Amino acid sequence: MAITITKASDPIRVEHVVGLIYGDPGLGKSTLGFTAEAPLCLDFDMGVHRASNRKDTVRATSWKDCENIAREDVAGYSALLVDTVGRMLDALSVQLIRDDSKNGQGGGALSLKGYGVLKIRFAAWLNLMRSFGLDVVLLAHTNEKKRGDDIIWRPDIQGGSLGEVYKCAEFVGYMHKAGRDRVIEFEPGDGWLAKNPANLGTVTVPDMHVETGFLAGLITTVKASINEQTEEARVANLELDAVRFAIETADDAALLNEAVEGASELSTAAKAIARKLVMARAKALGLVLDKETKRYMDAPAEGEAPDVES
Amino acid sequence: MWRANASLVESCRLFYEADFITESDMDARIKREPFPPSPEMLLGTAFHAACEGTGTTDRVDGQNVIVSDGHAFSATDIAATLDHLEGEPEVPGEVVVMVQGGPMRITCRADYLSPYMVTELKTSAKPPDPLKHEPSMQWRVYALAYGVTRVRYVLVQLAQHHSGIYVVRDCQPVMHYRYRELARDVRIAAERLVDYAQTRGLAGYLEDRS
Repeated sequence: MAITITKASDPIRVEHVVGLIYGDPGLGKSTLGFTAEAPLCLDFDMGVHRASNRKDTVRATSWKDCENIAREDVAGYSALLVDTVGRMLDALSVQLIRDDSKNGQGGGALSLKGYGVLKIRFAAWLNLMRSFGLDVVLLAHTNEKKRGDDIIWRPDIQGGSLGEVYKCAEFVGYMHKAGRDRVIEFEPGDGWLAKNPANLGTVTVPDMHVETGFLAGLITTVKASINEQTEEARVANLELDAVRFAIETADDAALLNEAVEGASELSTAAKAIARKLVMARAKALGLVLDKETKRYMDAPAEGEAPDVES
Repeated sequence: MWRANASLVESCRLFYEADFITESDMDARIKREPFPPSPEMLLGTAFHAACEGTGTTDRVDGQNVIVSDGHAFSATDIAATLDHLEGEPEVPGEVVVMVQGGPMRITCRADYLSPYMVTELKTSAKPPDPLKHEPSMQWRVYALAYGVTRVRYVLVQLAQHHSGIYVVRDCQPVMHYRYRELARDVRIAAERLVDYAQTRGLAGYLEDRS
């Protein structure tokens, strides 16, 4: 067979993820990064020497260092750390303006067109790295932003690129000090940006010289959670399809009532969908709902007026 | 019992956190005063309708288009957008949260609902900003009302071609995930709305008379 077809009813597993961890300098983000499984670090900040558990590193000075990564370069690595993604995007901006002056607007800043190109190049590069079998962990410093009267902490990533990073990342965590501990907030909060597909909540960062696989564990949890949700979604769709068929083929009150009963075990969302379908089907069949029994019945003959709603 | 829709709860958040909703705007929204839709809103409504298949097919300037509410959309772009829209369109929902003075029924209507995810279509003439809706109460209410863990916003930038056809210049899906304290955040936002209405003498408009 020339191609492998994944059936619509087959689950599609997420094998590689992109994540973003941001926090103040000196909190140990690079050290955290090196607790991923078999990591390779792209060191754009030139600060990786401060990580006490340093592993293989590329001292990246330009976007070319990213763009030139080939599959064979990363064979044997499982995770790619970008330290920091803000500086990497700065390097990409420089490259884009070199490539085409219309991508810039003077002073090294990107034009609107430049931002558009940056988003495309960055997303394409992330996809390429994933296709090489890598999880990508983006590290960033923090930046403060005003929202009304409040200050919120966000990743230090230039302009519109932050939105692109947020969109591409499966998980986003804000690392900060909480008393004597360092914690990562995956739960969105009033004062920070986060993304939490695995219901991780607030995670206390352990001694990373003891827990040498700490980030690897988090990434495994995120993947497992996303895949579990995908499987739940597949099953939920199949269950709804069965109820939908029963509703759409019901041609009298008894069959529609039977279909309504079949929907009682569905999830909240599937029930809401089934409710809409049932109401449409009842209307098409000219049925009315008996408010007391909550069952559909034939419309009364003229002159009768039972306690019903359409 | 109080009653509000997800848009009103979000308007109240924007009133406090952004500067483009004035007190008189907020009062008018609570009173459900009708307001003339802007051309952007009409365009968005027409695009939604075209995606739901209520438009008519035609040809303009040699291209297949879908005409909806007087707007001609590229049929190819509508088809590409549909790839991102999953589930049953226009499904109503509601959730009850406890606030001061009793429970509040918050109603909503998902653009598209599947058994595990809400998909919300947002149109704009501006380039999509994936972060714009992150603080929104709308998706938080959806997550509660439909019991889903994921709410995906499909951000569509529309532009008018010189032929008059509206094309999709950019389309960016952005996922939002339910989190542990989400219900608390919705409750706080709902309480803030009740508090505002009471302060302005408008609480009667929030009373549930159904």
